[in-house]
Amino acid sequence: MKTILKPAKRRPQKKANPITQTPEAINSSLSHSLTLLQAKLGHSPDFIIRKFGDSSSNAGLLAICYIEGLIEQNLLSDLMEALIAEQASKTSLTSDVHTAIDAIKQKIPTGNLNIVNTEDQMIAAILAGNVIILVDGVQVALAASIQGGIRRAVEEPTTQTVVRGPKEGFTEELSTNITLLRRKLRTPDLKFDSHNIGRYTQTRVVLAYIEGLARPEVIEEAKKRLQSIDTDSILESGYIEEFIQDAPLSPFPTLLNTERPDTVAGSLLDGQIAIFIDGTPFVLLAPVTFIKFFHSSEDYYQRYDISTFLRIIRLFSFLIALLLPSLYIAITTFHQEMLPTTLLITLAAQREGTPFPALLEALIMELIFEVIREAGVRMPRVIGPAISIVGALVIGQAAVQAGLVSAAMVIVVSFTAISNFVIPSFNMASTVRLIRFFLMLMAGMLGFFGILAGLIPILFHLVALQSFGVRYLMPFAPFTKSNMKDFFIRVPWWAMKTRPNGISGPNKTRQAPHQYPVSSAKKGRRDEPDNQK
Amino acid sequence: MRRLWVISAVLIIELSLTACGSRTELNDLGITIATGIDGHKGDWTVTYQVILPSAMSSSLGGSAGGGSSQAAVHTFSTQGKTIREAIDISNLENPRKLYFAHNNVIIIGKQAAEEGIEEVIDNYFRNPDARETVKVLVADRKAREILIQLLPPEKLPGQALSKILQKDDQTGSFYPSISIYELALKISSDSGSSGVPEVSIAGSDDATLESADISKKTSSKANLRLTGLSIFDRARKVGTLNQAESLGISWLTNHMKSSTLSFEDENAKSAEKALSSFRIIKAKVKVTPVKGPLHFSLDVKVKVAGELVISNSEEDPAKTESIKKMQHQVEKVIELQIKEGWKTVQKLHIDLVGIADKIHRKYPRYWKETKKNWPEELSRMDINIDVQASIKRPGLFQKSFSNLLKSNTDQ
Repeated sequence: MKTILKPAKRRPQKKANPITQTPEAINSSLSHSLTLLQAKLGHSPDFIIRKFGDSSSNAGLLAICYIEGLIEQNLLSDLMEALIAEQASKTSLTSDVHTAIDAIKQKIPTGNLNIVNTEDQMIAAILAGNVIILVDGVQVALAASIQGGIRRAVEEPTTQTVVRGPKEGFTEELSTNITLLRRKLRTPDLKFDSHNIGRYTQTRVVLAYIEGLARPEVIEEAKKRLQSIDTDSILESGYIEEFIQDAPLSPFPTLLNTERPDTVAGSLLDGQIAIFIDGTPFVLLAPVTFIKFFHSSEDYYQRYDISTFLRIIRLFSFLIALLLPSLYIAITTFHQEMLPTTLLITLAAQREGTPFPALLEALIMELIFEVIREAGVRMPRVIGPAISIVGALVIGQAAVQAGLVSAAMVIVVSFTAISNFVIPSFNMASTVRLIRFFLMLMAGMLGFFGILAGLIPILFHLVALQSFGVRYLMPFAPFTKSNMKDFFIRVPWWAMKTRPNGISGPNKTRQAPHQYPVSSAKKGRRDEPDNQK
Repeated sequence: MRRLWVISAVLIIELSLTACGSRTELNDLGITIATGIDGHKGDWTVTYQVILPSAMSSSLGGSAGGGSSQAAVHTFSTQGKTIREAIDISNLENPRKLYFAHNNVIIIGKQAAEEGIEEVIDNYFRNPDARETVKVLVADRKAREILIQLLPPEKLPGQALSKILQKDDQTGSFYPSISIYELALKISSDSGSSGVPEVSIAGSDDATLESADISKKTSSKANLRLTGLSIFDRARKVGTLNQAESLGISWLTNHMKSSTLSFEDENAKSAEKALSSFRIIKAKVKVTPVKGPLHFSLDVKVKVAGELVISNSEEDPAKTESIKKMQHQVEKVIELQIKEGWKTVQKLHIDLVGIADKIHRKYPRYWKETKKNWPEELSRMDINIDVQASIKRPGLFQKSFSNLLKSNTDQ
């Protein structure tokens, strides 16, 4: 078992970028450069080269090249207008590098303008959505960043919805996502650390944290882990998660993902770090503790008493989702004496004439539910109602009436399934689904003893698990009294005086003391709030 | 990684080879709701009342739809040299595994009770599948004859009997119910005796109760009823108390939870009896043996609180003196009830109250000599009864209605 629990060995740091193997300077001949670009990009239809000037005179010849879908058309026409004017005046188009570049720089209406020196940089810039301006006889090129093209607008997140709270969610565009975060955290202490990962995808991965709030060790560790990734492609945050998580073989996630900018902002303020990945709306958060998977961002927007109640409900549903089928199996096949007589008779009456043992019945029902559920996710939206009708009728009623399964089992399975949806984090919910089957088998073989024999190793594993150096069961084991304020209960904001211990860095104080709201009429009793905690 | 595979393979094989040893599906269980024991040492007959789950639920799916037309229980008996042997023989005629964890009541037949119930108790304490909290009843005939009766409107006679016992504890307190565990404790204590409620079939034509057709009628000629309190001296039944005697024992053993008692207005001017009723809400009885110069005497302190539920008295409950008078009358009735019980105890020489244990605890040194001639000592004991009754609620109505009518006609 030890092999499972051991933290992943980090691979030695080795940076291999196939594109920068032979850095070659840009040839001063325009036609040579263009031919090279055509060859490298494989004559693809979306690669556009536009030449200005008279090719016969050969003086003041310049060209722009870009990939059609990656740039903003309006900005491109502005750029071209300027270039045409510049080309017509022919004042600056001499072979002198600096004068030529400077002249163009001054005319072009683009904010982000870089000079590229090598061919490889040039290709990388084109692929990243830049417009490259090449001037004949000049050994450098200009990269104007006017990225654009078709993007999804900022919409309400689909996986993590709230009743009260911001309705915006991240999009696939990294810069948009960072902007969304920036709007929430207007502090110069918000730092970003950018990496390009993936030999072919060159995906931009950005580590975000608030300096002073995040623990420096965690930031260092995260950077190290990101740098050591050497793979073909990063298409989604799931790739990164699997490469950098602490216990790769554990079913329990040690990174949280979210679609919500407010969750990310709140987590950064707790001293966590966030990892943005270009091309996905899901942002990774680390380090996380077990209980974080049961917190919703709405907990912090609703009244504290309601939030506390909801958190307890969620933990209760977690236990139900994990244990209800196995408890049912264990009680009905091993420990019938635990049921009240009337309930036992009712259950026995339902079991009368059902063909399968309780374990098999539960397994079949659970599997059928998983199939329906998977079908519900994958199928075209139009057929949605059909599946639910078939699911409800066939599984719910017909199976009971046909005497194939007992009605109590249908109740158990459906309540388990519904409880499973209460868990706010999807990946924790999947873990629970998986472990449930294991516990059902254990319960079917050994009863309560089996359930315990299954649960105790899981508990051992959870106690040993760490996420970026933070204990997974943090405020509970090791017991941290100060973190209890945001565990089962969520204390009111005026009492949330410090950031979570163990997760946050040097700056632990969240707010000034004495935040208990006092109306100006009662100002005299300003010294009371301390007792209110 | 290799080690992981080995470990998981070993685990999977180990777990799957246990072959679900002690697993029993619900439809393999013969849930026994009541057990009866007849016979004597060396020849026991055990009767089981087994539930038919399919007959219990009429609305559920499946083949069962009968509901009332089908009896919800099936009763059968087996015979063996010991009780366990008899139970094991049951497999010859019963396809299901008899399951005793939900046994609600155990009925001891007349002969078995008179010959001794040591083996019954031993069976219950030695085997974990049967609970020692099961309620005990004694039958005035063979236990089997009780168990084959239905008890309308309940579907499960065994459960109904235990519910009757429970209800009697809560509302009447005539025959305090006893579990096999308490019974064992009592008959093995210094006083060595205990009372067990007795069940019998009242009325005639009891054969009708054996068929589920009984639920088609609105009344039955016969019915199961608690009729007395069997007295056990050690493991043997030695006698039976009637309701009044048993009530006295209930008081003395502090089993009185709630009961309704009637008292007479002695000062009533009219010729007819002016009976009123008092319902006990809370009763506390403290029985203390006190060592006197010659022999022990018994101090009984009773505190009762209750409400007036029926009044024919001429007294006006709005007045404090009237309430006091009524309370005094209630006290007298209670004292009489206690004396009735005490008289029986002294007559039978059987310490049903458990005074022996109290003396042993309070005067451990004297107990040694008293023990030798305890029954005689018991019969010589005096009793001092002190009852304090309080009427907490006289009800919403003030003067009794008969009084009201009388005063109207007088005018």
